[in-house]
Amino acid sequence: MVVNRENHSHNLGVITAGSLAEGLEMRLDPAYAVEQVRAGKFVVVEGSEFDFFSMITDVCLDASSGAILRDPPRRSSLLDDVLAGDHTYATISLKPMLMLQRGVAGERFDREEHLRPVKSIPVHFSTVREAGKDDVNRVFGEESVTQTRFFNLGAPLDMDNVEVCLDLDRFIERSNGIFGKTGTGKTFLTRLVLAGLIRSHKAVNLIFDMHSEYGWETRAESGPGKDAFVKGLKNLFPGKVLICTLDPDSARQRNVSFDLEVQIPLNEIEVEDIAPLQEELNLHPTAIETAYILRNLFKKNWLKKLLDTDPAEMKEQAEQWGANKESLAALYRKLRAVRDLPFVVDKTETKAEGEITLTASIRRIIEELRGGRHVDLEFGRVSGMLAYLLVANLISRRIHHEWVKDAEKYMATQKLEDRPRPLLITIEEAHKFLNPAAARQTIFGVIARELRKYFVSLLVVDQRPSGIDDEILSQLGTRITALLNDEKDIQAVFTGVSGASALRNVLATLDTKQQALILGHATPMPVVVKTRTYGLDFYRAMGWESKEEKSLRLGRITAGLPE
Amino acid sequence: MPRGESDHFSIFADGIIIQHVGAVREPPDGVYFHGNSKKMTDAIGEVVNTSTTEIVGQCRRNGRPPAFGSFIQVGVEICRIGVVYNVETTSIDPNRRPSALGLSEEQLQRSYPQLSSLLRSQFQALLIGWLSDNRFVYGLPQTPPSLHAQVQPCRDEVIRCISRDLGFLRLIYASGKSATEDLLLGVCRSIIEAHERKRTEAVRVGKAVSELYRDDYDTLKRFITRLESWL
Ligand SMILES: Nc1ncnc2c1ncn2[C@@H]1O[C@H](COP(=O)(O)OP(=O)(O)O)[C@@H](O)[C@H]1O
Ligand SMILES: [Mg+2]
Repeated sequence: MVVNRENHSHNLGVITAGSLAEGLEMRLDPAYAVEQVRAGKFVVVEGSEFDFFSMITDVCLDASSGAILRDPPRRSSLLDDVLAGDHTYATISLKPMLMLQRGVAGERFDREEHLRPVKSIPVHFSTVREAGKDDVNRVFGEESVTQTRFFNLGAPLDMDNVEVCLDLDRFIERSNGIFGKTGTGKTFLTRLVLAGLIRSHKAVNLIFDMHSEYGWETRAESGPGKDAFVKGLKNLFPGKVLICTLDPDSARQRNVSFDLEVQIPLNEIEVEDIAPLQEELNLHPTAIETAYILRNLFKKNWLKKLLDTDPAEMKEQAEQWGANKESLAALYRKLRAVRDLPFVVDKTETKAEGEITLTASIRRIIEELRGGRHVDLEFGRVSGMLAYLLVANLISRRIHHEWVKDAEKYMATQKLEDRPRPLLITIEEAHKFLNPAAARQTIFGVIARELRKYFVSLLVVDQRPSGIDDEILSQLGTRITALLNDEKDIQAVFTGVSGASALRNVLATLDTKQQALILGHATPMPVVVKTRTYGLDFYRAMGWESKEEKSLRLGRITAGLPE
Repeated sequence: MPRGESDHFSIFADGIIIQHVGAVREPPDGVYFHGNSKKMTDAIGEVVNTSTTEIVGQCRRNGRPPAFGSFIQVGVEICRIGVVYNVETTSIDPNRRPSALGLSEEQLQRSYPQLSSLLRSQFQALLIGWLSDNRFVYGLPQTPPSLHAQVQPCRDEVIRCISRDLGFLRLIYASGKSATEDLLLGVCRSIIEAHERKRTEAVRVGKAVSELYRDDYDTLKRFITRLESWL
């Protein structure tokens, strides 16, 4: 923090008022310029018995008398300077988040035991200071100490070399959300979190990669590395990530490899895979009923049968099948879009590599996930919402089914080796799956609600959280939120969070890029971070090395030198 | 040499002035004010009326009276500090009241060369504290300065020492002297002028005054604006 006046002190100010319900008020020390005080900053209030770890939630200008405001001094006049800090001053609102007995430090300190929810407020005139590295480490843990548990996601505001860590153990205990309007860094954040999870071996990931930006290199849109390529998860963890694609041509054009091509034969699409598309396809509920009629008649071939119907004969067919003519025609018209998707094939194809059936692809994916590898499904150029909804739901439904079986087996045997690996499914544009209507039909609604009973949880990435069903939002354990402007979206992010009003301000004042508010299960208190930069330093931290470095290292090993 | 090794000149709390011979060099921290060893010529007047709250000083003949609002010091053993709040010139003989002559200054000088010896200037100063052990203590002294003691103007170094803590402004504010506002203004001006960084000092002094006028923003505003016009 820059100090604009003399008498620099580390104390930001003193507590002058406050309540448990409304938070604390601090009088800003005149040595600090109000413009340097940022909402979201992490500060420590030193009470007489406890330290209160708090966040700045609001900054407010105040004057000791109304007369000053009625006849304000000229800017930068002597009077202005004389009044500043004493008669015209800033009041800072703080929200205490955690309290810690003073003097508990070093070996004696235990995060779980000593960090307590705030049950009281500090005494009058307690001093407030900026948090230091020690404070942050005590609250959020340290990556270097327990690498597999804590993952450094960024630095607190104004504290560049300090790490705020996510507690990954807790992170995977629930479904989680990453929010923010377009261009604020959701994709980068998601990539960071996924990399942390991959490195920690805490969970396996299945990523529905709508824009093909998680697996291989993608281009950064701005910042110092603008237009440079940033590495994908496959680059960083080549042996641990499996790339699947729906659009092999796109992969070939980008000159990247893939491990598995996924195709969806018509006869493997079930009515339950179509039902969640109602909104996207604008399907009437009666159309779904019609689909069930067809399914009962033709079993696996219901969709092919429908789409092979000659439109001219729709009336006769409807009568013959006992379906409503309008509904049938509508179903036909709308589901043609499904057949038009490039990865949807009429029947199981046999290729040089052997037969590609969906069942086989899914079996492979499941095997890989069970084996601890992570699966990134690229959509290539097939970027439409219809394809994404269809595929994500269809595949997740089948995989979830397997996980349920595994989990039930584990419950029966209770043997540790039968314990399924926690699976985290990443979906983007989550409001399309989890809006109040869709949440009842998609598998994702089920997963979010069953609370990881079957070891499956979600990582939802979305720029419009207000579109997501409230009940689902309130189930999200950890929410990592970049800037949001829309009032409804801001409100949505705080669904089910008590005392959120103070944090709303903080969220609305984030920078447009690379800043996020982390809130919930995986951090002991809400915190604003400058997101860790996804770049060379990060790759290195993940164990990546350049070709030259690698050959150098291998050369040393063969020469019998220390690495 | 009681204190300080090579100060050019020093006066200590007891008012003793020492002239050091040797290299001129910045004095060390603490109270150090360069005096003039010829003390008598430095004095502006002599105490002719004394009390624990204020003194009346009579100016030396042909001497200039001290400025309203300026700092004076008096006393050798204990060096009391005061601020001048009134200056007046009257006839020496209480039975002869001056009356108007209607002459220009030049004519006056020519026609009545002896005039200045028939008049005397006196000034009144409010006591605000004393120097003790190299520090300024504000408040009223236990004993008044002695009669006929020499009164000297405070030098900048002394003023800087006095004004480190501005608590004495309240003594002036509460003194009940007429034109308190102007007196305070004069004192503030004396303080600012003794400092290098005038603007910074003005802000500091202004903040101290703002405490006095906490409930009277209009006066404060007028005061600070007047102060600013001098900067
Ligand atoms: N953690 C980060 N490290 C490096 N660059 C970042 C980071 N976060 C955001 N950026 C920059 O901001 C741009 C937009 O981020 P992105 O994740 O694509 O936004 P969103 O997915 O929310 O639309 C990126 O292209 C990149 O240049
Ligand atoms: Mg994105």
